[in-house]
Amino acid sequence: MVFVGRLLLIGLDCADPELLRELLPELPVLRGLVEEGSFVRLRSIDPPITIPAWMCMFTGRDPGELGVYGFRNRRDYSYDSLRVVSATDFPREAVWDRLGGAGLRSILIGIPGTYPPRPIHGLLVSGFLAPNPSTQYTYPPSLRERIRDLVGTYLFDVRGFRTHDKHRVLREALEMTQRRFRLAVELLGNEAWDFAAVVEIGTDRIHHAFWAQHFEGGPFQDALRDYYCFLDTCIGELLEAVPRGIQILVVSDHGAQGLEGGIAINEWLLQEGYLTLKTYPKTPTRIGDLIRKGLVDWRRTLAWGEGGHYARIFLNVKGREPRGAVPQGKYDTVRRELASALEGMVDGEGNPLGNRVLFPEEIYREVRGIPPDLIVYPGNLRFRSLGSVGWGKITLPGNDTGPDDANHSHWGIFISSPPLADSDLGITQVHDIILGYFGLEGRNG
Amino acid sequence: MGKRELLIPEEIYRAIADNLSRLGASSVEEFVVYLLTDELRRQGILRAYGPEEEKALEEHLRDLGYTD
Repeated sequence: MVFVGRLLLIGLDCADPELLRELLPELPVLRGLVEEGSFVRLRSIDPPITIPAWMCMFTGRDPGELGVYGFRNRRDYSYDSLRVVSATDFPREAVWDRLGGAGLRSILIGIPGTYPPRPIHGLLVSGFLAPNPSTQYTYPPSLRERIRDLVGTYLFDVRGFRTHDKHRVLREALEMTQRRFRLAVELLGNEAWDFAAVVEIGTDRIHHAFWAQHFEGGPFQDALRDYYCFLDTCIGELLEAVPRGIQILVVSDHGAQGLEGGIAINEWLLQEGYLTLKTYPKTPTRIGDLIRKGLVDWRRTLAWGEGGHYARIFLNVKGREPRGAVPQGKYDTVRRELASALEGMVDGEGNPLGNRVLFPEEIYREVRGIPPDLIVYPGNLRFRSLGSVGWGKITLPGNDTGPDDANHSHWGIFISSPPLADSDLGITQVHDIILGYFGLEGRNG
Repeated sequence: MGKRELLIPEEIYRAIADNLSRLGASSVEEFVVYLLTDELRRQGILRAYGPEEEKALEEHLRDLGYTD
């Protein structure tokens, strides 16, 4: 017997529990949901990054099981095989696939990892990895024209995000959020559905752009608060458009914390003798460009790293990489020594950075695809990983790709109204909670 | 884009045609093309992104701080 209720999930990318508790007094809609329901923390996956976190939530699988370790995955063991992840990289085991099989209809809007759109029982509007509004970003295809009629040009994301023009970032984030929720109101208010998920990416963009000024003051000190108040209004309008008494979830894929600076991971690997370049660049140069230009001396390179919100370390293994240098018999020893050295990294003044180093096979239930050999959280994510080389130093006060105020943290939010949880949850549990609501068995029985 | 005609068993055609709403498609052809495209992408025969799209996306992801 399948339960015939409705569940609406509102996803706020990067929404942080501590920040939200601080802002709740000024957010009547979200506060009302918390007062009528419950508000617990949601532990993200490792790494706590949008891709793959949202799809871990909706499939109940960890990144190792999905074989998706970040926005870009290695396709093979060549040195330049990182490719942008798409929906095709994920198994068709998301909650909407299960619900569709049971005859239940879904409306999905903005979920990262859903481009290109796959057929579902319902409607799908892809997330921000859709290249542009002229691509086929909806299922069914005819939905795209309808969206244009409803909200004009659909905005996937804030473009040209890494800029000092904060006015434009704020303006575009507000416009994007408004159009997404206007679309959600139209679709959820006029279409049949059992499960709906609307994920707003604007929260993440606002955190990265305005986090520091929210806490430390500045000309944009009210921007983050104002955005949340606007978002709260949008959520209120959406709740007005759906039937009363349905199950509401408000969740995030990870949280946020202040960013103290960047760790030039490949500079450190160079300094420690793990990475060797044929020529040291005169200006900061991306590791990918150095690889493509043949400037890495692979015969004398044991490891290299990729930057981003965290670091991925790849060992250069004989018989695995094309010009491997680490004998397979010494793989474990080299990896352990490198992990230990990474954990002991210090800043320019000799202070420990507090790096965390993770081994994929120790944190995932299964390891599929090509994982990084090590996952590193510089300063436990108080710092970013800078992959570029040419800085002449290890620690930098800022970010190599432009201004950034925040990095990710492991704790996101889980608000349920009526209450479905009274203690903190793990992100993959959401999958079972949704299926359980509809009377379907989850991954854990 | 040009098109070719393919024949599919009547039983398959009817199963799709009778369930278009549940399948979320407006026609049998639309649904079959989606399924075939998805499978070819899954097997790496077709790419989800064209070269220019992927290049632009990589810049966007770098811009957002997800990659470097």
